[in-house]
Amino acid sequence: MNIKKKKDGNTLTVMIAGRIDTATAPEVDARINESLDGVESLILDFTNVNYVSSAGLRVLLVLQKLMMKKGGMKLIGVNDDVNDVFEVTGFDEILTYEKG
Amino acid sequence: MIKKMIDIRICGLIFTIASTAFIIALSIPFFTEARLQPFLYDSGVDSMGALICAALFYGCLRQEGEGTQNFRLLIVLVSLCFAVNEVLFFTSLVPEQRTLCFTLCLVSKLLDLVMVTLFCRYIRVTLGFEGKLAKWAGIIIPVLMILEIIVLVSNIFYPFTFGVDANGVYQTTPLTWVEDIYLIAISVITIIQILMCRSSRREKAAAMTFMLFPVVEYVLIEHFGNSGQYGMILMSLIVMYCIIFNEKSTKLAATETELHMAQEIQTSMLPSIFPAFPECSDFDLYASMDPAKEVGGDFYDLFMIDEDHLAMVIADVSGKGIPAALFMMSSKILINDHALMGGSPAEILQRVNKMVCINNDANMFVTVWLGILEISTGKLTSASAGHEYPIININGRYELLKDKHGLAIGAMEFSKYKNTEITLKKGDSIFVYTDGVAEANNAGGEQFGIDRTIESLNAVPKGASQKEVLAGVRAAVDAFVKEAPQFDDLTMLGLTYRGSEKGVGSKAEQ
Repeated sequence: MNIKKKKDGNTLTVMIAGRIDTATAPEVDARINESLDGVESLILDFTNVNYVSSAGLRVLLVLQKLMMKKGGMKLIGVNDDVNDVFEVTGFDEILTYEKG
Repeated sequence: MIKKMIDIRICGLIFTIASTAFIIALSIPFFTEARLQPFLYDSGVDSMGALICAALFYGCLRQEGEGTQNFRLLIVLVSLCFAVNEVLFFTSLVPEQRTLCFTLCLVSKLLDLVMVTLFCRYIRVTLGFEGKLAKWAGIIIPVLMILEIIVLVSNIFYPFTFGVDANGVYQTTPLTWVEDIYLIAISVITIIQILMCRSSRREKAAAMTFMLFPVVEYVLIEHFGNSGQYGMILMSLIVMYCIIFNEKSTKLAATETELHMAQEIQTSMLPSIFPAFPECSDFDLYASMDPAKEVGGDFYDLFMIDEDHLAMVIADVSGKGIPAALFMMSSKILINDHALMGGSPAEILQRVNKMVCINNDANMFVTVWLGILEISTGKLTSASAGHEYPIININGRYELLKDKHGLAIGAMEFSKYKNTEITLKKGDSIFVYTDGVAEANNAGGEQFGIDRTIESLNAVPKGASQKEVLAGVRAAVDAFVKEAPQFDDLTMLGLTYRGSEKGVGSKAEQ
């Protein structure tokens, strides 16, 4: 699990690499949340995310709900496997994302 | 962050082991050199002590909680003291190494100071000592400590409390007692802390072994001209370790029992007697759940809505442990209630979702597949709230049914769901499952996957009962996973439609 953050004005871009599962989801959650002050646009770069479990989906759901009030959230570089997970669980309906 | 913590711990462990190895190596000349022979016994004690330090450090390597950091630091310091002590013996009585001997004496005394202070702090943190007295102690301790350090360091310029003479022999002075002021003060404070804290008697008794410290110190200094505070602190630490950690593990065992009970309650909530509806011969139905070690959130349910309608549910709650189990319980009951109230699967899921969302502060969610079979016609209406695609066998082979998907239940309040309708002919089957099946990992991290799941279903001989079908899939998963531990719950539900006895089933074939 590797997380890099870049803040540009009120846009926060987070690059995540690895699996987001029960073991890593709390870290992802904490690392993103600590930088959310004043952020209106959150971009999650999923280019190097190869797996998202239900624990990972929960993190995305909480962030999505939070960012809906503050501005917006977008995922970029979502690969086919992760896209499958989004489609099966119906998360494709609530998340804004681009496939990569 | 977590990685860094582990690194520091590993460094500590390596240090204690290195210190032991160093002392043992250095003790070899003690057997042969006449000068060192009087210290042979002390050297043995040092080796032993350092070894115990290493073992103790290893023992609490993974311990978490208040004061454990402090505890580990203390062990490292005690180990360092043993090492310094050993070198001290080695350099004594050698006039040329007078300066080194003096420096080591000073270092050893300073280390003592830090150690006793840390021990006092450790006791305060672990046993929980608060109030006015604690505040006073917080002022007195640093002041006395600084004074003590000034006194000790001043010996560099003038042998005020101790010195090393021209022959390399440690010398006390008439003022040596000044050194003891701090030790006595902090011992008294520590003892007061132990007596006044709100901990259990056992913990108090363990900490009280520390009270022996001044006594043993006195005996050792009076009779052997040697001080034993490292040994005493080490002994106190060991006793504290045994008692406090023993208490913790008792609590842990109790929690484990509770978790086990939760798992039992959860499992007993699922229909487990098959055939589930012995009076109904129109279908063959079987379901199984093999929970992973932890309490999980998978569940299935089977119940009759009325004489002609069978409801089948399979679901997977996000997360694990007690929260998932509680969420599973409430979802299961809600689905059951709302299904009995009537409506299509999509309508039922929509209502359940609304109910779940109202009080879902934890943002948990559950993927659900709900199917209602009209027994007389074989019409199967299902709706999916973010659950895995069903695998159906309507043309002689199992294949994936890409049904219409809605969002997992509990995620968003206004989720909409769609019904998928298929008609089962006599002999047709449906297989639903949770992600534990397709996501079962082998030791190489490879997933069993949906393709292998379908393959294993097709590998089961035709005409096998659903019990045998599920056992076949399970065997295929086991053969693939081999010795890798089961990470997720493995839940499956299978149904074969045998056609209605009332003869309406044939209609559906047209």
